[in-house]
Amino acid sequence: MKKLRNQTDSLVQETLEGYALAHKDVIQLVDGTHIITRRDCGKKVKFLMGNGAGHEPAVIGWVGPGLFDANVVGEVFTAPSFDKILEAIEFLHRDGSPVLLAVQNHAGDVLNANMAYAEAIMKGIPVKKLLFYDDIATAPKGMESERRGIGGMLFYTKIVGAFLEQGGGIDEAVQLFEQVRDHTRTFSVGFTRCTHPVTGLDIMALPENEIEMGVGTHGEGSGSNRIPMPSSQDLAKLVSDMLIEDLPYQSGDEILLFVNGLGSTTCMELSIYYKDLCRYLESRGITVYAGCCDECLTTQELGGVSVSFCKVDDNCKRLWDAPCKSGLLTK
Amino acid sequence: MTLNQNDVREILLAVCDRVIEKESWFCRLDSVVGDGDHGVTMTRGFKAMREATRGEMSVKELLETAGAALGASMGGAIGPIYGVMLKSMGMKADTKPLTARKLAEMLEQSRSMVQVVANVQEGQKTIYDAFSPAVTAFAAEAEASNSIPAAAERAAEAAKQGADATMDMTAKKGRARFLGERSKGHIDAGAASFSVISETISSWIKNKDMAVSK
Repeated sequence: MKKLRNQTDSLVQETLEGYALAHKDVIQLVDGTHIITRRDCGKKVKFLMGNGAGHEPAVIGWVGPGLFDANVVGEVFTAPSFDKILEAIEFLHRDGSPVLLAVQNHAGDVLNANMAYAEAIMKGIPVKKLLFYDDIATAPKGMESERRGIGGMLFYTKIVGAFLEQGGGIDEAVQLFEQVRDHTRTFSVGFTRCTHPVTGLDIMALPENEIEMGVGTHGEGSGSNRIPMPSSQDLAKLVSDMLIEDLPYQSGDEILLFVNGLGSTTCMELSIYYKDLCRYLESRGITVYAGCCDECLTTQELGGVSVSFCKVDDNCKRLWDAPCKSGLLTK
Repeated sequence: MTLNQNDVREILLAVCDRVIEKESWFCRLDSVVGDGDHGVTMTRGFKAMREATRGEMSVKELLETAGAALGASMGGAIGPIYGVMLKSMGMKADTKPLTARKLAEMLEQSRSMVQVVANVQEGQKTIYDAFSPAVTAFAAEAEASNSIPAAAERAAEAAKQGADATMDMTAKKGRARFLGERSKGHIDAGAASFSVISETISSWIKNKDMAVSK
């Protein structure tokens, strides 16, 4: 394995230190923790997310004004332990602010978040928990809450983040989150393997010229759903049709579009694909109000791309357009 | 035979050594259906447990401290499971040396807490498929003979059988469930690590028992 690193047991610590240095005008690493927090943050409902490392620049890249107030990071591909999540809740609550904890639906994240949440409630901290799921490959329609949370998280990060930045209350934020979640769908496709940065083992080895439909955030497949590598236009149609049918999105809807590279997908490929998705959606009568096309929520150098749609109303559009500043997204 | 705090500490250390020895095997098992780092996570957890349990402690303190250290250092889904497993055994411990029947009571408590925390059942291709049969086997033998070596041996056999049986199961929990049918044909890494731990505990107890009877 050729990866720039020092010791394997300090990979996460060093990643957080470096990212915080590179974006020191916006964020800092809290001493002795794996909590990345924004520099200037007054009293407000604090927005927190916990997740495993190895998916950078997300989620640390979405910490800043108008987005998350803090992100607590676990080991590589491993949810942070409940006491680390609790530590982050207590850190954000030290000025008395309530805390809104976002959780992606993955077994480890949910387990540890539930335990931290229960402990925080017992300590008298006003805290609410949000569970996000959007990956249509991981459970059938009708079992939405069984699905895993992946790239569509950008939508609630931005929209709920903006709402809280403008002084929004915690209960309204929960409602807004549910609205965004229930209008968001994501589908992910894997092209090429990546290497676990600690063990050096391969993740998702695929035959040449085949792609994995419905790949998870750790390169795991959803089934034996492999197809020959299609053109960008064909993949745009295939993936859009699945997403459209699932919600369903209808002619006349306005959506946000997020095309997310999984680690080694070039800007050239992402741009071509973004354009093809826009064209195809247009042909189906769906308007792309705005979007994002970048490598955000990655799995090391995995090749592939996830596509997320979120149906929006005027309120969500306004919040999407509101100012924000972070390592990954600035408006 | 009963177990006191020195025995429990030595068992925990023996388990720690064995887990470190098996690190790359756990990783290989996990890489088939997961992301291949179960061994890394186990080693990190049990090293932290070894550090945290230095110093004089009662059985109760040892198990609770060990559980807390595992939960805090491992993370993921497996951290809370191993953590709660030991912590809840400690909660049931008292100051008397442990008998087989007392251990069975502690294990039953542990099983019900793991079930609550992880919301897991047998047949879902998880660590629970090794853990739950081991508890059942231990409790049955403890009831019959109140012998720790015999109960530990039955438990280790049941854990091994349980772990081997995950080979033909389709995963219903965790990352592996998204592989569907493709998760078949491989042993679950969590069940395998629990089986190795049970076998280590049983061997330690058997050796100790033989040394004492001599």
